[in-house]
Amino acid sequence: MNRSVLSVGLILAWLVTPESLVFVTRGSGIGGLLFAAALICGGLLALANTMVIHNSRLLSAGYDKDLQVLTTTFGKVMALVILFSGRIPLILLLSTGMLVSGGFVFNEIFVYWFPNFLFAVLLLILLVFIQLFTGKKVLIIQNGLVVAAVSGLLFLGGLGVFAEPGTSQSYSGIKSGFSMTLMAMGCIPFLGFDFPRSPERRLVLLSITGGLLLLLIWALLAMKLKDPSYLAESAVAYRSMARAVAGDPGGYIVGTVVICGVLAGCNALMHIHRRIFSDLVEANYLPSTFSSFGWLVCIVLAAVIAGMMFSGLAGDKILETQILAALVLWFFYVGLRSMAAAYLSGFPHPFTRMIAFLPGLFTLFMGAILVAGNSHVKYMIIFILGVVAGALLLALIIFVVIGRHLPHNPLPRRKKT
Amino acid sequence: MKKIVLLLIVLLFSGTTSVWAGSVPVMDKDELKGMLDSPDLVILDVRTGRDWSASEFKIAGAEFLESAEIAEATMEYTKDKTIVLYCA
Repeated sequence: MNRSVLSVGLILAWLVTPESLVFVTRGSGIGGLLFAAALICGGLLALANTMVIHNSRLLSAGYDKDLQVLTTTFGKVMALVILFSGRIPLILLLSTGMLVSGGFVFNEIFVYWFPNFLFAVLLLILLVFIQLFTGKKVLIIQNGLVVAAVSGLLFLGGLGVFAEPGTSQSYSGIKSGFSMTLMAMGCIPFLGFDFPRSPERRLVLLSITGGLLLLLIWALLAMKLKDPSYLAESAVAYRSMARAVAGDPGGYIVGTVVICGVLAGCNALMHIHRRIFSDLVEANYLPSTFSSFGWLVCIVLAAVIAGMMFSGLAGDKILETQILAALVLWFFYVGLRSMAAAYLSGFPHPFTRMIAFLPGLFTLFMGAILVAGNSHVKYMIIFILGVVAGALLLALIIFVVIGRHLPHNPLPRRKKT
Repeated sequence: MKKIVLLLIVLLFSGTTSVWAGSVPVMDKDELKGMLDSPDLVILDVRTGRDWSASEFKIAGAEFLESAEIAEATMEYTKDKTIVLYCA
């Protein structure tokens, strides 16, 4: 199978996770039909960013790697800080949360006597096992998981058209009026478009459009079947929706969707971290002997995730704030990546050049809105600053400690005067 | 029941067995099921984070509490009540 086609599995990986579904159902409860508009705006923003990040001028100039684009624009240290802070908290926190959610779904839908936590750990082990395969096989598995999740969501969404409306059917949310926070919530499910490397632009656009339609169906279904206050509060509304649509079989279908979505989301994150590691080796930031140790990155990440799970982080409500902060950092990463692409593309016309910066700028703004609109704003800012400081430390370790022993030190030496 | 407080840890839906908490009595799900109609029964759902939010199973009539509120909440009930803490 063509690698470009396989990139669809990465683009849609985040969109089909239970986390995204929760944002969709909660947003539907808060904003009603206005949230559907927010989803459309989020999809359009993702499309605009795709046009900039994967534009032909940039590719023909030889810029096809995130690290390369960020380094040329922001410099070596800043590029690593942006890359690490945008990616590492994402895999550690999101995976911890999603795996635990997957464990609950398995326990409560499929096998009640099987410990949810043990199932979450088994999923993590399975992820490491998948990552031991070669790159293309990982992508094939990834696509299989995404296809299973999308099929389940489409099937339930289609059945939902014929379902009886809930007794308190309401297409208005618990809050009236359109807010920027609602708009930012609508952008969250589309973030994964930056996962694949130099995919066919047409394919990314098609995937985002398809994903947007899928989420719109689910948003409208949520409003049709459930009370807005329930949707706004619940983190498992999609499960009761599935049962309302198709009874117990609906529960089994959504259970399969969730488990496949969790695996797809975590597997995509593992895959891109492995890719970042090989990019670091290729850029001569790490010794070339590391090139065959990509699998070790997955094991280390899995060990940290397991540690966070065993520490009971998922049972701590602060995890939700931390996950949101990681998503904000993802927004910042995408925004800066898009602006760097706009800068390097060298559009000849000043107006086009200015327009090309807008999607990235707007993405940064959406991230800032998510921070400002959160009730734990102070904690989020401290957390984000802490992550950036950690990323800076890691970048310095790579350049100063490891880089010193490399034949070609990635940091330019200061010339003696 | 005169002397309370019966602090119970019921692992209703997971296969794991119990959390050791010194002399606190532990109740299994069947025992709790048999008491559900009792007016003297108070169930406090003290699950936190995703343990609560990611679970669809909630005991009907259970009161959801933040961990910091448990001590204060138990003081609100008279000593003839049986208080069950449900944490997983």
